[in-house]
Amino acid sequence: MTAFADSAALKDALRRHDYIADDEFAVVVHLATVLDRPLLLEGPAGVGKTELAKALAAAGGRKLVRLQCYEGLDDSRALYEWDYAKQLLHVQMLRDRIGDRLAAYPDLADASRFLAEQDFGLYSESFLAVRPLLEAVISPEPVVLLVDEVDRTEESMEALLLEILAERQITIPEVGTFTARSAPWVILTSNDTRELSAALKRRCLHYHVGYPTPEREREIVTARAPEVPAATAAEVVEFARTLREMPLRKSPSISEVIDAARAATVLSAHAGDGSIRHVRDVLLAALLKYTGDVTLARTRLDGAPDPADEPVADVPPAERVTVASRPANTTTAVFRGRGGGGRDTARVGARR
Amino acid sequence: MRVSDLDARRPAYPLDVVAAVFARLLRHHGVAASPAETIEIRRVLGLVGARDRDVLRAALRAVCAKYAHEQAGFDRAFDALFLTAGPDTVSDGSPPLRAQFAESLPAALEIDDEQQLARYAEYNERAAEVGDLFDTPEADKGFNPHKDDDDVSMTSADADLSVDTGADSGRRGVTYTVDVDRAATATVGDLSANPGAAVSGSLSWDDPASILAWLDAYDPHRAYGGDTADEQLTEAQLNRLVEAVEAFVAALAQAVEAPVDDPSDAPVDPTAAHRAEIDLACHEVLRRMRGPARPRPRERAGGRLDLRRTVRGSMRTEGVPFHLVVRSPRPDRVRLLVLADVSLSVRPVTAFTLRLAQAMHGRAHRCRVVAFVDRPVEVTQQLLAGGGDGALARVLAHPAVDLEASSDYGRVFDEMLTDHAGLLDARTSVLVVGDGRCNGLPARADRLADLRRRVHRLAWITPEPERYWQQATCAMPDYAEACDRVVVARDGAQLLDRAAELGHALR
Repeated sequence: MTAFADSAALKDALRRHDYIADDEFAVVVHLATVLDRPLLLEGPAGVGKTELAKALAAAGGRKLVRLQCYEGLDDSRALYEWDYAKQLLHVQMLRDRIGDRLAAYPDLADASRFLAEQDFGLYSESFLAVRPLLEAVISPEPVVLLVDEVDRTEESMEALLLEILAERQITIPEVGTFTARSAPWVILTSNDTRELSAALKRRCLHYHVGYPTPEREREIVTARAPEVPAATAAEVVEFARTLREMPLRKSPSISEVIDAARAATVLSAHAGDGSIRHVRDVLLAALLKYTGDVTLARTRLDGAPDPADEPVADVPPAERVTVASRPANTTTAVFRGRGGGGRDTARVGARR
Repeated sequence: MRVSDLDARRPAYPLDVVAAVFARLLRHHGVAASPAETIEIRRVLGLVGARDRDVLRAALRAVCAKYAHEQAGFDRAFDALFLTAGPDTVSDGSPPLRAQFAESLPAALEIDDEQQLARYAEYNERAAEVGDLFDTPEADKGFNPHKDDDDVSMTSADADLSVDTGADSGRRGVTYTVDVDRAATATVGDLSANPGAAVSGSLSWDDPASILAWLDAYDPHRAYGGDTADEQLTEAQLNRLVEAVEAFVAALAQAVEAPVDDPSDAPVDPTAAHRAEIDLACHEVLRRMRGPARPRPRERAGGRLDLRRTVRGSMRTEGVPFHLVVRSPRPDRVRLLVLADVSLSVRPVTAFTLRLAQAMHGRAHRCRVVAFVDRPVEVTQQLLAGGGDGALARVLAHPAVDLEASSDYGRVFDEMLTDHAGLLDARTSVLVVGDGRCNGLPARADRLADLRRRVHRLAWITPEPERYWQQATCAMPDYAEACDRVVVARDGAQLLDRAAELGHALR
């Protein structure tokens, strides 16, 4: 186990494991390790939330225990489960032996008293099937516990997490309470598909992981995919930045940029030319995940502005603020510039 | 604020105060900071120090601001507390700060000299003035309210009046000070031009700077280490520090009150606040909603033993039930259909309606949005692209949405049942947002009842209070009969109040 002296040391350690964090992020991660608080990372998919946990485990020399959340995850998958089959085998093994012993007691009352005195050890740690949360708590050497995509579970699961995050202990009714044998670093990630409960948020340090600056992104691409030439990386990053400014359903994130940079390297090696211009459509396929997004990006990149967005861009933002500050009629801004268009649009609607 | 001897002996006491003050500032700026957060702030201050503001900002942000809508408030609070202090005292960090600070202390704080003390944070002086004005009969001292306000000094004849210069009454005094200052202005326009001037102008931020300097010098490792005799502050220093902190807190209290008067500094962007409110309300509704029962109960670890399947499964293992099958009914995920009225009559709440639909869409497992005026138009795609108010405009710009038509609920329900029947099934809950005004057109409440039969649950959010439902053009009473629940809400706050009711009805 390694404790990091300060955020700069942590940042260097992460960099050695190919994870490039910016200063603010490094401060927060360092704080989480020092304060012993769980760290909740929110942000769009593919910006390196899970990677952080892996890199942190590698940098800190800790084992990574991962709980992948999904809908319908319950405590028997997250905490522990009694190994029923093993218990049953144990009971069957005992049965023969007990028969011999009980033969010595002529009286039924004596026999049952004898049985009551015995501890068969059926509910002991050896019959527990340990699941990630319990594993993190009972592990003798400190671990990094990654609770991945916590927003996918139900709220009841969050409530279960609360006890573990706050008290670092798990109570098993038959055995007792397990307190953490070492202080795990806990990292929770959320793709922000649903609002987490306030109770969970309040127990965690919170950091919103966003898209990186172009310089940092270039660094990340070259660190993660060393075969990509610097010029290609810069070009792909710039291309992704252009795409992120469009109103897409899913903006390209870092992992997709890395894929695209790899693709661009392979393709331009064939073409013999360093430019990504002629492979743009292929890169779009790598960067965007929805057909609608690809179409939108193509029309925008070819120079034709999207007609649906044109009027929106016309509305001056300052005006919107003033209108919105009058709550009596919050809708005016949305309707602005659209008052006379009703008749034409009505005809379009009627024809359908 | 009273400072006990015990407090004064603790070297970390100022940190506690700064943490408490910062938490208070946060609450003032709309960031929910509980006492637990205050403790965290205190720990962070001890660990990080205030030398590097960017680091401190990042650390405190992680601790305090947990929601997107809290970020702006956090920044304002942070700037107010940590950035108004002159950075020049802190930037030259190389000389021994403690020594520098210790030197600067007596100059800043002459405790024996009452006038100095009064001038030091400048609020006491004025508080005393105001005290003069109210405590002494005007005739006795010949006070002329029109003469001058600023020249009354502590050394005047009334200086020996007993005026409590404690922090509490001092704060009270500040309020008066602001008023007096305004009254001194001759022109009316000046009233709003510099409302905060009296406060911010009179504050001397030297002391926050010195507090921060002390924070810089503060070495947490040493404090926890124990053997700190050589670095301990002397008694006198400590006392002065405590005084400084008291005054600092009082001055801060002053600064905290100030922005309320100042419209330019007040939190702008109410859209963001609305959005956060609606988001919260939707979250509450969905949290209480349950989907219909799943067609097949899922196997679980806990629950009632399914004897039939257990025994059947045990046949494979010669009648030994290795695999226990238990089952418990679990609700399915929420599927929602939002029917949003965007007609003229509800135009003032259309933004609320669409934002609600948008927020629901972002949160529910499966959510379709249908906007209507006289006929339903599915706009899920338009709400999906991008986000923010641009999406609202795109919905309204949809070619099939005729904004100038008059709303026709009967036709909408009819077409929902015929043309959009695919959207309705027994596993979907329907939420109608509209006022139920049919403008004399047939209400077709029977069609709504048909719709109700086809779906899992049906609820209605109307912006109109119940007393208007009886009007001739409003078919709300008829519709209400078909609905599981009708909720009156015009904005996020009202919806939040009724969230439990609505979510329960859609359960």
